[in-house]
Amino acid sequence: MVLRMLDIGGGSVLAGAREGNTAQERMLREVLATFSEVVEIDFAGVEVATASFLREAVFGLRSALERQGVRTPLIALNAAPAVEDDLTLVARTLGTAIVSASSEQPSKGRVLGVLDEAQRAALAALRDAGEASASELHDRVRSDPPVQVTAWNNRLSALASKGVAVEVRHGREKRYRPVLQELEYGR
Amino acid sequence: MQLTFDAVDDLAFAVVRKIRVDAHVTKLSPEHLGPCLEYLWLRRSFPLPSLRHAPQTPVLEILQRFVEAGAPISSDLTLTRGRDVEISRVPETPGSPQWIAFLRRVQCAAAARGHNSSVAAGFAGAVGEMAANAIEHSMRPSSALMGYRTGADGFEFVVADCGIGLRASLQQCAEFRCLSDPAEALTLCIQEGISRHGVGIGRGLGFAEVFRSLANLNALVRLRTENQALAIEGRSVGPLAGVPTERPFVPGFLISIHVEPQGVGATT
Repeated sequence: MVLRMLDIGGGSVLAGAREGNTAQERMLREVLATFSEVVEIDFAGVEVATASFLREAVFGLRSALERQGVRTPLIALNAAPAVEDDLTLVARTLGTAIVSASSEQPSKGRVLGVLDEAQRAALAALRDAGEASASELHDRVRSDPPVQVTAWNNRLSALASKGVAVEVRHGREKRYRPVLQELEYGR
Repeated sequence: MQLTFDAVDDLAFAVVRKIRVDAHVTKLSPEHLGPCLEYLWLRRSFPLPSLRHAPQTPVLEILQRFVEAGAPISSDLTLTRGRDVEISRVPETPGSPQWIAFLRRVQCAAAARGHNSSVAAGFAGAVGEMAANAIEHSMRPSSALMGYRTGADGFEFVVADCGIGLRASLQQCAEFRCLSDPAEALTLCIQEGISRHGVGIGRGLGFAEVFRSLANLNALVRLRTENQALAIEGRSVGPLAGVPTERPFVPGFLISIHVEPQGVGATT
């Protein structure tokens, strides 16, 4: 699912928390109305989206979805450098992350924000595996000291809550895969 | 002679000391938006003479219609003089067409003065942030104004309100409940991550947007709240560059930014 921020925000300069809140409400209605594995927020044409706006619109949308029990990852698409800067600022301030990608290379993305060392290791392992469960990564990745299944589960769950991994249910088993095939961390 | 911030301070201090300044006011031309707005705000607290007898300028004409008119003014009202000066009430309805159109005009006006597209968009974003702050934090959203002016001397934008001021706003946060010094409140408010909602929770990012919009530019930023003024001037100004100084009391909060002119096609 693609949400065009230029249409939702109404202009190429998007500023202010209350404007962001209005955008969040509009996007929330659309996302809840249609099931999507991933939601792409397309920033094409947006020249400036201030940190306050993005905090409410994008990260506020994620929080609102989680309150509804929906853990659909959000991807920022075609964000201008200034918008990416503010996405990074907000993500770091909130201790979270978001994936940024471009329509020209839709399978490739960059993680903006904060992943701790364990989460980065989990992302690297998940990239290598393509898709895996916590117990599979426990069997696959050797480390000293060994990382227990519970710890892998926590790391993978954290990646999912930060929108970096997608949770895929197979019966009672929780499996994960990176939200995009090629993901690098940081800018 | 122009009505500058220094002149405004001198006139206000003189009136506090009960010195008549009527003759001086008639000689000062109110050409800049920031000082003129600050003067009119000061008139709410002090018996400063009306600017009716000052040289009439586009800035003064518009501001007088907003501030000194007796009748209530529609929240949708935008007043302009050509494309060079515009003042608008900040719309209280988020996402309103007036809001979006105004920010677009700020951007176009800045671009017409030689700023590149991203810089001009940054100014519009900064105005938007300050205006949104006025609605959210002043507790008197109907008093919030935003405006811009372009001229040979550069690009200017202002946001002002007659609300509770920065200190009273911050005091709504438990961490700052005992904040008694308006100078400290002013210094705190412009730091990144400080908000009446709390510290380090992803709020308080609006002033950072203003300073980021001025990166690599020569500018003057003037902030006024209660009996404090903070002027930060220079290239790539930031929140740590200024020290508040005591001035006569103004209600609410005002921020004025004056950016020096850029050459046409200059990259910034």
